[in-house]
This record gives sequence, structure tokens and C-alpha cells, in this order.
Amino acid sequence: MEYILAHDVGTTGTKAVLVSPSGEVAATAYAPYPTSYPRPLWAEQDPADWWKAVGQTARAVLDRAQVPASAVMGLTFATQMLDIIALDAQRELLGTCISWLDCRAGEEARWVMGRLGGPSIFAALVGATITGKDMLPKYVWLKRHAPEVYARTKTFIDCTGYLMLRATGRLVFEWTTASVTGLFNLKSKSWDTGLMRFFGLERSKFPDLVGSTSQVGGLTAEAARELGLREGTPVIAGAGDGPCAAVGAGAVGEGEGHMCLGTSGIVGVMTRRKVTGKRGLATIQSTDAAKNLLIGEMETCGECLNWGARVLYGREADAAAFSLMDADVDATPPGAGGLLFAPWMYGERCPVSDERARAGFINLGANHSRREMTRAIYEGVAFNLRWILESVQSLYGFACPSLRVIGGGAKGRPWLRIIADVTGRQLEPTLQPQEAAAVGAALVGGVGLGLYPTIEATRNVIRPSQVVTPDSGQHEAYTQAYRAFQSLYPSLRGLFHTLNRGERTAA
Amino acid sequence: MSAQVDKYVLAIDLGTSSAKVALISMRGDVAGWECEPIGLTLLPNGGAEQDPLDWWNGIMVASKRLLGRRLIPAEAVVAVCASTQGGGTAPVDRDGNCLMNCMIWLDSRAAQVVRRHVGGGLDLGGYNALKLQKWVNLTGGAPSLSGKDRYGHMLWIKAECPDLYARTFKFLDVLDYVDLKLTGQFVTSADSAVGTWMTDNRDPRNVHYVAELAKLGGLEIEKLPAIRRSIDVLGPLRSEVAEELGLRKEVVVVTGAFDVPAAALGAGTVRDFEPHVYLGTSSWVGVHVPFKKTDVASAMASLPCAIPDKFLLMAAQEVAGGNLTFFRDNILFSRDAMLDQEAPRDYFAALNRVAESVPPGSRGVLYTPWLYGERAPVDDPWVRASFHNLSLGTTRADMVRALMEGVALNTRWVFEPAEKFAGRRLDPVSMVGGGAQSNLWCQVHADVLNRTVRQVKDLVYANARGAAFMAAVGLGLVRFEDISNLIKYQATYTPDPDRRALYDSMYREYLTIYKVTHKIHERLNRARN
Repeated sequence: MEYILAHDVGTTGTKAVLVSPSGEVAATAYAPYPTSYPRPLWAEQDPADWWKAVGQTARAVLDRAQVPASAVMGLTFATQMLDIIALDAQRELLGTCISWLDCRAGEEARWVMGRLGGPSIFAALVGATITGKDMLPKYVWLKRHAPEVYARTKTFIDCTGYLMLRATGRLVFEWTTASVTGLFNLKSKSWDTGLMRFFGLERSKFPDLVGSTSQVGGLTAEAARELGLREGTPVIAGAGDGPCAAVGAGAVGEGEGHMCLGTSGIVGVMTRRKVTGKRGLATIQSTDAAKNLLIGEMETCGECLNWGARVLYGREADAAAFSLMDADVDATPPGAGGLLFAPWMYGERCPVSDERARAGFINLGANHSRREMTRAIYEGVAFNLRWILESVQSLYGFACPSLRVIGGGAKGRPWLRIIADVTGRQLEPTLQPQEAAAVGAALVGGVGLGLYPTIEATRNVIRPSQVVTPDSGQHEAYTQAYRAFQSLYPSLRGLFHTLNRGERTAA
Repeated sequence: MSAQVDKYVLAIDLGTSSAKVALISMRGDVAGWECEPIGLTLLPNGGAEQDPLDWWNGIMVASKRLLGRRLIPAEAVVAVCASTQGGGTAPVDRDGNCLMNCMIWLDSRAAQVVRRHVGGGLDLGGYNALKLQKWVNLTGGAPSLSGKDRYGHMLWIKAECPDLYARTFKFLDVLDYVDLKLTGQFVTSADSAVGTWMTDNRDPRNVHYVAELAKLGGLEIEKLPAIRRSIDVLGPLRSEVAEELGLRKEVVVVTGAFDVPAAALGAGTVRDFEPHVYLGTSSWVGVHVPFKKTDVASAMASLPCAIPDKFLLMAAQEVAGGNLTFFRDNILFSRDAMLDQEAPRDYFAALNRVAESVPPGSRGVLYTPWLYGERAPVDDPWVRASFHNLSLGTTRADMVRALMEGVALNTRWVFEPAEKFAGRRLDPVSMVGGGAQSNLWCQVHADVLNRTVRQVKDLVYANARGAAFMAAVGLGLVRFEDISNLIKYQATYTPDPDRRALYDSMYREYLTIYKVTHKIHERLNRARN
């Protein structure tokens, strides 16, 4: 039996997953690494930590599965996105990696938007305003605030690029992760040199682009030693974790959608069409060269439930707490007795894009208790997902009558029932919902190795564990509360902006 | 304390949740007190009932236990006087037997029937303009559209139980029933009679029923008890009662008043323009003024009270300290799947410590305390409570402080129009009621209101002490103007200038929340009703 080794290199750690060509997971291994917060708003990671963790978990996963290194057909990655790494002429790191969590470049984000007509025009052009967390403002930040680092920078890469460099010795920038820099042309799959000039960035600092399914090279002798694999093992670029997850969800056909219920929440739709982002929906390159991925991100999704466990119940947000919360939700009729929850605990991205929005319980009466509050949280997240799905439908015509579901939330029984009824969509959680990014990367690797002819051909590899069909009566019953939910943000926007005027989204 | 030589009043404070009885000297000193809980029946149709016999039993049990402690010689008790919850309607026959349970001040069953009777024709906020003018002119107010007052209760009984209405000899308020049990007389106090919206209140010394106002709703003033002043000596305590309690035959009963005017005396705020804030399960702002006036916009009026020649502006708010018990019983220690411990006995003390650990502003969390809707400065049965601006970092402690700040912001919401009504700055504010035991909450009120707050000594007995003062004045032993000097303060809280900008901006946002969400609440809650 042969396998593809995929690494999901996330924010808190990396997970190695050994996947068979039929999509089965033979073994997994995890290793954490730290994030440092050297100053307010700053967040950094050391790329060397990633590589070390990749090595550890690669060995661990082979060991666990009792598989020899010779059984590994190829190596690939699903990576965190929106991070920045600067290399000098000797390909050495200049400092650490600026994480996607870092929001130091707020000033530069405003400057960038100002150069394109200001935030509202910018949002109309691009689909959303940008913040100090985005990549383009961070390149500008480096040039302004660390000019000597910027001057010594020979090449900017990101997480995938760093891993490719360590694995193969090649300097490349992968399409999906390049497509979130703000400097990538989705149509021509090339760097937008015009935009680079406009913002004073040099084209020469950005390496050549490669597609997700490209074989970047073979493992170098050194890398093979570090990972416990064979020299020359094919290395396929892989992609950002979001684009990989779409593949791992099995929602890769035209107009097919998936929903990721993780710490944050994502609705993603693959399409051949050239769609422009609106209402916080972003269009990025998918793992399939022919398709874009339309993404609507909800900043705090499962994290709202975690908050409920911590604050309302005074518990760790673990499986035991969730089973008790689920019991309370089951014991509470749909509608939570009229109580509403707005789930914007850390600002929101979609369908409203506002880093100053915050969460709330509205319509709390003496007839409510903690179980209604918990049910309201479950329902409030579902309302926001419905809002995203309705935006996707009304703006682009993708109805997504059924959605694959991945992420930890795909295992929550009452929550899936609520989301299905609220959204009126059929939900299909996958068999390994928490491994979706890594499994997706493995399938991308499989395409790169020629095991599958195209990305779209991988769709039958992923199977749902069950099908949750919406109850049309319940869907109807939720509609009144949903209408009230929709009116909350426009009503409260002014309040958020006054109360949180001084706030910058801090890490 | 000159307990041995002083004369004492057996002062009754009959609230919604308990009957409290205290022995209080003519100088306002509390020798001791006892308390008995009282049940409340909430009906799905908005009904809220209590059995008047439960009140009476509670009062008698607590009185016997108190007198049994022999804190003072029984001969020292010279009078009995009560302060009670107001706005209740208990129909009784000629023998004083209750024909049904009392519909208490929370009972909103009459909401629809009231609208039918007071509306129609030229509409002014739900009222017929001509009828409203008549009411405002004579009474200073008008029946509440919420149905939660005596006018509404009587209309409801007449519409829903016509036989019972016909058999009713008198519709008694809560105080009236207690006075009936104490004296055998069917009487009411002037301040209670005002709650029928059938009296001419223009001269506070001559509050009298007006048949024409009763007829606006098809009601009859013959079914209402005779009006007495709060300080009138009604007569001797019924001998059976005196005997049962072991009191002298000479003990007299003084009319008393309902809780708001009583608390105004018990807080020592007897002079014009001296405000008090009562912070109990619910809350109110009260201030004596020398004029009768109505501010329709903020639903505020000054009405006859316990002091015979004065008017009292009162603005009651629905839930204040009740928010903290709600947080305990329904959230922190909710009886659900995860309950693994009981609430600590010193819950409120713990809550204060927790709230103290959070900086002013509750780290951005805002709470609006409208768990049951609100009465003032808006009469809105649909609005409900909310937590706003919750972040990932928000903790329980932040939410607890937000509860306390939210209640204080709600107080300011009614305090500002009260000052406008009075035509002057109302400062300092005397605080009474159980919630004012919290030093932190007093300071928060001082900071939010930007007024000096005086924490009255023995503030939980304010209503009973008010009743005792009414007896003392009625017996000619104390003058109203002496009361200010008899009150002591536990502490004084001055507003912190460093918090001025913060609380002013929070207050503006608080107003915004009502403005932008009350329609959403109305849509949600009307549809559910």
C-alpha cells in the first residue's frame, strides 16, 4: 500500500496525515509550536519551528502506521495563509514570520485604500475593506518601518514557499496563497506588476508562481534526513488550508459548496466563473487552475460556543462540556424563547465586514435561562451562516442546496440540525471532518502525482458520514427570528463604532 | 438609643415577596424585625395574583415572632402602621371577605380591555384625546395602557366576571385590606386612592373621588373605600388582633401609605426637591415637589402622597436588583444539565467582589435591564434586556459589573427627566432598598448619575420606617420637618471626575440601544404573544 504524506501547517501546530489514494487516513500525528507577541498588535512565528514540527510528525506518523519511507509516494502541504517571510540573498531568514494574526499595518491598510479612492470605493472594487492583518499593507509596513530589512530582502515568500524551500531547495510562491496577497492576477495567474509598481514594491522580490498540483521537485538529501523520508520523494506544492479544505470536503464541482465549522466559520463555493468579491465575500484561486474559490468567512463560529462554555458554564470548552450544552440545547424548543444572539465576538468579515462589530444577547427576558442563551448561541451562528449563504445566492446565483460540512462542528448533532433548519440547506458532514485540510492536500498531491486526472475527479473520494435534511416547517418557523437578526447589525453599527472607536483588532 | 423610654410603632412593610414587620421608635431607630415570605401566582395570560389572607397570615406570624423576642416592653408599642405594595385590586364583600385573589401591580390581564375603554376617537398615544385631557387635568395622569393598575383591574373584573363585580362591596388596594384587618374599616389612603385614576388631585389636602372619571370606564365610585390621610389615626386596633399579639387595647392604627411615599419618608427626604432612589427587586426615583404637574412625554406626574400638603413625583422602574437574582437563578446556577453546585449563601457579597475586580465600563460590555419591559421613562411592555458588545475576552466578572452599571444607567434614564420635571438639579440623592447595601453599587450610581449619593443607615427598613414616621406624625409626637434630622447616613459617595467622560458616553450609547432596538423587540414579542 502506498500513501501520500500531507501536513496541515496551522497556527497552533502542524498535523501530519498519511492518506491512501482512496482517501483513507492511516495515521495522524501532531506537534505544536508557539506564537510570540513581541508588541501589542504584533504576532510572529519562527518558520524553523514549523520545519522542526514537520520533521517530528513525519517520523511519528510513519511509525504509527508502521509504514516504511518507501511507501510514501509524495509529500505535500496545506498551510496557514496571509503570512510574510523575508529572505536575504543567501536565502536566510530576515527575522521571523509575520503571522496572519498580526495587525500592525492598520495605518498602511488605510493608506492603501486611500490610494484607491478610500475605504468605501475600495470595498466596492475589491469586495471588502482591508485591515492591518492583510498582506499588501504589511509589505508596505516593512518598507516604511524597517527599511533596512526591506532593502536586504531578496525574496518574499510565505509558509508554503518556506516549506518548499526547505524540502526542495527551490524558491516558489504557490497560486492559492499568492492570490490573497492582493498582488495576484486571478485571470492570468501571474503577479500584478502594475499594482506592485503603484504601491512601490519590486517585482524582483517575488519568486516564480507555481500551481497547487505542481511537482516542485524532489526531497533534498538534507530534507530527507530531517523528515525520515527518501531522497527524491516528489514534493507537490499543495495549497492554503482553505482551498485544501474545499477538496477535503469533496465539494469541488462547479457551484458546489462546503461549510467549515471551526473556530472561525467558512462558506466556500468552487466556480469556473470570474466572480468579484462583494459583502465581505472574497474570491481567491482554488487548487483547481480552472476554478476560483468564493469564500465567506465568519470570524467567530465554534469560538462562540467555546465562549459560552467558558463564561456561561464556567467550564473548559471540551467534549464533556459540549455534550452537556448539547443536552441543554435539545431540552430547549427552537427559537430559544425569542432570545437572539449576535455572534460577532471578534468583529465580522462576512456578510458584513466590520472589525468593530461585537456580540450580544438581545431580547433577554425573565422567562429565559442559561439553556435559552446556549440555544441562542447555536442559532445565532446559524443565522449568520444563513446570511452568508443568502448573500452567495443573491449575488452570484449559487443556491448550494446541499453543503459538505467539515471542521469540529460537523460532529455536533443538535447544532447541525439547527444549521440545516435555519439555512434550509441539506448538510453532509464528511467522515473525517477535522482532517479535511490535510486530506484535501493529499488529494491535491494525488493530482500532482497523476493518481487522479483533475481536482474535480477527486470529488467521489470523499464521502459524507450522514445527510441532515432541513425541516421546511422549522425553516419557516425560524424566519421571523432571522429577519430580526438581520436588522440587528444595521441598527447597532453606530453603537459598535462609538464604543470600539479606539480598538484595533488585537491579537 | 433610648429604647426603654421611647414609644414604638409596630411598622409593617408588605412587599411582593415578603411581609416584614419591624419595631421602630418615634425617632426612626429599628429595635428589631422579622420577615415572612409570601407566594405569588403568575398566570400565563399575564395574571399576577396573591391571596390577601397570605398577607395577613404573614404579617401576624412575623409580628408574633418579633414581639415574642421581647426586645422592648409590649406597653411601649403605641401604634400600628403599614406601608405596602401599591396598585393591587382585591374585591371584597360587606363582611370583608375576598371574592377572588388580589390582582397585584404586576397583573397585566387588562391590557386589551383598557385600550378599548380609554381609546377611540381622536387618538393621542392610544388614548382618546378628550378623555386623556380630563384625566390629566384632574388626576395628573391616566390609566396605564399596560393594564397594570387598579383602573385596569376593575375594568377587567367587570368585563370578565360581571357577577363578581356586581357582588363587590369595595375594591380594596393592598394597604386598604391590611387596614381593614387591623381596624374593621373600609378605608384607603389618599396616595393609594390616586391609583384608581378616579380622584381629583388638584388640592392634595382634599383628594376626592369624581364620579365622572369612574364613568369614563363604566365604573362606580361607590365601590371604592373612603379616603383618609396617611397620618390619620383610624382608631383602635381590633381587640382580637391586639389580644392575639399581646398588645394593649389602646394601641391605635394609623392609615399608612403605599411603598413609594413611605420610602420617601423613611429615606428622610421630606423637604421639597430632595430625591431618593429605592433599589430593590424593582426600583424608583421619588421626590417631593410643591406642585401638581404632568409630563406626558416621559410619563411622569407628581401626585398626592403621605405628606398631606405635598405632591410626590414618582417614577418606578420594572426590574433593578431583580437582575442580579435573575443572573444567579437563571444563568450562573441555572437548573440545567451542567448545574454542579448551588449558589453560595453570600452570593451578593461575592458578586460585589467580582464586580469590583473589573474597571469602570465593564471592559466595553453594556447591559440593559429590561427583563420584564419598562415602565419609566417609557411605558414599553415589549422591550427586553440585552447584553451588548461582548468580545472573546469578555468574562463573567465583566458581565456582572455590566449588570450593575446597566441598572445605574437605567436609573439615570429616569433621573434626568425627573430633574427636568422638578426644574432643578436634584443633588444629593439618598439611596435605600436592599440593593443600596452594596457600597460599589452606590458608588456606581454616584458616578453614573454624577450626583452625590447618601447611603441611608438601616436602608432595608426604609419603608417600615416611613410607616413609623407616619404614625409618629399622626400621634403628634414628631413633625414632618423633624424627620430630616432623625436620619443617619452610613456613607456618602461623590462622583469620580475621572469617570465622567466614560459614563457619559456609555449613557449616550444606552439611549441609542433603546432607540435602535425597541422596534425589533416589539416585533419579536408582539408576534410571540
